[in-house]
Amino acid sequence: MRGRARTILRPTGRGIVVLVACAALWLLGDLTRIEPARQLAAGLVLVLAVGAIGILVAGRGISPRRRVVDDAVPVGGSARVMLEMQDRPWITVMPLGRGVVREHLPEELGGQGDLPLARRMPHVLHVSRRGGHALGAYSVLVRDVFGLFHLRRTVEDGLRITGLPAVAEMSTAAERSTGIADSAVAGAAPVAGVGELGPIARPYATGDDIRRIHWRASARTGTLMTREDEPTAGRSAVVVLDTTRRDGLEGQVEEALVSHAATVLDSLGRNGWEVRIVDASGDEITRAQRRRGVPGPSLLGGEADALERRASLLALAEVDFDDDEQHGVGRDHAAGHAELAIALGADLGEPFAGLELDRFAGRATRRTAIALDAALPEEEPETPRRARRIGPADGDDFGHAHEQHAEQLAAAHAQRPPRRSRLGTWALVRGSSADTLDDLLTTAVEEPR
Amino acid sequence: MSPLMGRPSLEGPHLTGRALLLLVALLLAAAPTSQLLAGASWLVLTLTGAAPVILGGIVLRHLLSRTALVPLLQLGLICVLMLVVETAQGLAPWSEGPVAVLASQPEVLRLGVQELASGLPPMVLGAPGTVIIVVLVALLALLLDLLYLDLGWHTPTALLLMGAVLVPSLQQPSGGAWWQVAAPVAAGAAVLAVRTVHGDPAISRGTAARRPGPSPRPAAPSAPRCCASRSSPPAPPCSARPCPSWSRRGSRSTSTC
Repeated sequence: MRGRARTILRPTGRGIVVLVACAALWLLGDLTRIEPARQLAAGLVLVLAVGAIGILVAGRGISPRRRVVDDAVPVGGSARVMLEMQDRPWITVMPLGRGVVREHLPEELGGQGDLPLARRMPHVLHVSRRGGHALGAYSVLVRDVFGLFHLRRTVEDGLRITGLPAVAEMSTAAERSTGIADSAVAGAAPVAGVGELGPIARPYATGDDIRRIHWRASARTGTLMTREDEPTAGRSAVVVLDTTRRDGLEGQVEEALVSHAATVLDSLGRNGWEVRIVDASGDEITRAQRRRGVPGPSLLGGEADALERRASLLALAEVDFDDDEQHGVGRDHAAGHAELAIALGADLGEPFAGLELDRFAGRATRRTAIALDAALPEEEPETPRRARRIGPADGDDFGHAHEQHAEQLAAAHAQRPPRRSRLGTWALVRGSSADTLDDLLTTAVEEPR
Repeated sequence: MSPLMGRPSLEGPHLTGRALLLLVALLLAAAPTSQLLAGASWLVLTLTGAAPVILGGIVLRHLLSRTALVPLLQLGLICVLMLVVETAQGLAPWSEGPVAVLASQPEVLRLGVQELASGLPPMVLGAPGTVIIVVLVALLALLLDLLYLDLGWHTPTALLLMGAVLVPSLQQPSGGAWWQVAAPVAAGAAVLAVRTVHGDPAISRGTAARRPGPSPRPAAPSAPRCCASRSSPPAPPCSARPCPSWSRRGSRSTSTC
């Protein structure tokens, strides 16, 4: 995307020093009749002239354009970004100066950093937080060969990358413990009678299994039809995400809650549930229909599922934990006829305080509430760092921060395993942000009363 | 680039290349002194004074982990150099013992300063004058070495080298040959151009979590992971669709994940 650009050409500090020295030497030469002073001033003028010509020539053809290849990636993943010059910059052909592209990225995307100037600069950005992140402006910085002049072309293109919540896999045991997967699910549709087409038949698509051809429907319609497996009972579930603004609620807990919501949503969808995710105010965050592509090998259904899934994740990515009680926390606007309810919230001593969970659950028979507290102390925000320059000695030593973080999480999990208890009609599981959904649902120990 | 300023110091070939450039620049900047010294002594004496300091600095920086000690050891090297030159010129009375050599130093310095002060260009230097010039060149080389390699102050270094044009100006106000001006200006220009031609190594090298900015190399093509564990960052969902992967050349290819 090509954005609004503004260009600044100015002398550097070094350029000003050389200019002043040049004038002073010329004056000295005039006053004292010392010829070497004038000769040196002339030499400095020559250096300045070469620098000026160099920066003017080097600045030709710099017309950057940036586009985001992956506009939404899971937290912890990398988004590909392509930065390229539309024309061939002269500086990439002739060594007239040195150029970098400085991206003024937010901390969530890695912070400010430099890329060596080239015709094409594909790179990746590591997305560390959920939500929409503006990439910010980027600047093409060019200096002449002597470092006397500085050309800065700043472009603002308004590009964004969305950090999607992480989606994990739920084990079968975890799915069964919440009622998502049932060992004996009865089909909802009646058995098709003689001559009836059955509930779902669609045109044959290349790649469909020959054994799934719906011969009866094909005979009726005159074209090959493929049989989709009929859905199980029209099951609907509601996931309540406690987005109430609470003092002491930490970012890691928010991230874990949203991640678990996305995981539950995915698992419910795969098991044939219609799902609504609502926030503490009862507003619907997202809704997902029963998976069309599950369990049949339908390509169109798979496409539709992927689109719906992406829309849901994008909606979850924007979730903020800022609902307050004055704006109707705890009242579900549309409880519906959910058969299964799962609530996710922070555990700050009294889980789901101020929230009437039963009103969200409607007539749901399976109710599971998951409350999390922070596993690790919140990190202090770092002071902004200076731009990192990329040079020949740049190594690939990324250190062991990642492993250390994993060890800390594992230690926190071992120290405080999840506990299971009751919260009214709900099965309450209390754990920490270090616990995976499987840990919470399968390894929780009964809490002593 | 300074260990004194809390920045990483130059290492390996970067250090060697820049140190050798400084040596060459010093030799070029010495060109105007050919108006003051007879014959090729301006080049020989500059080389004698500068080479041990700069080359010794390279060796010391490779050997020592604490590079802040290097300038001090280079100072010691200059003392050794002075004794060697005095010995070569027959000024050090080693036959009378080391104490006598040390005791003779003030006299050597006095004679050298007297010789330089009373001489007229172009001078043919005597032994004390030679010692003084070599020591002065060595001290200047140490100063520039500190400025250029340790502190990374390229602009003062370049201006000092260019300023060598003015060294003979009191004796020769009308100036000298063109190359006696061009050589110091070229030396200064070379120092100014160093960071453009040869960028500084990275200022910061940290962990992945602390490493700011974009990564210039796209990640190696890999299939998205289908599950997330406690020890790994969250994984993108897996689908049965072909997904694009990114080659190091930036071209798209297709793989099945």
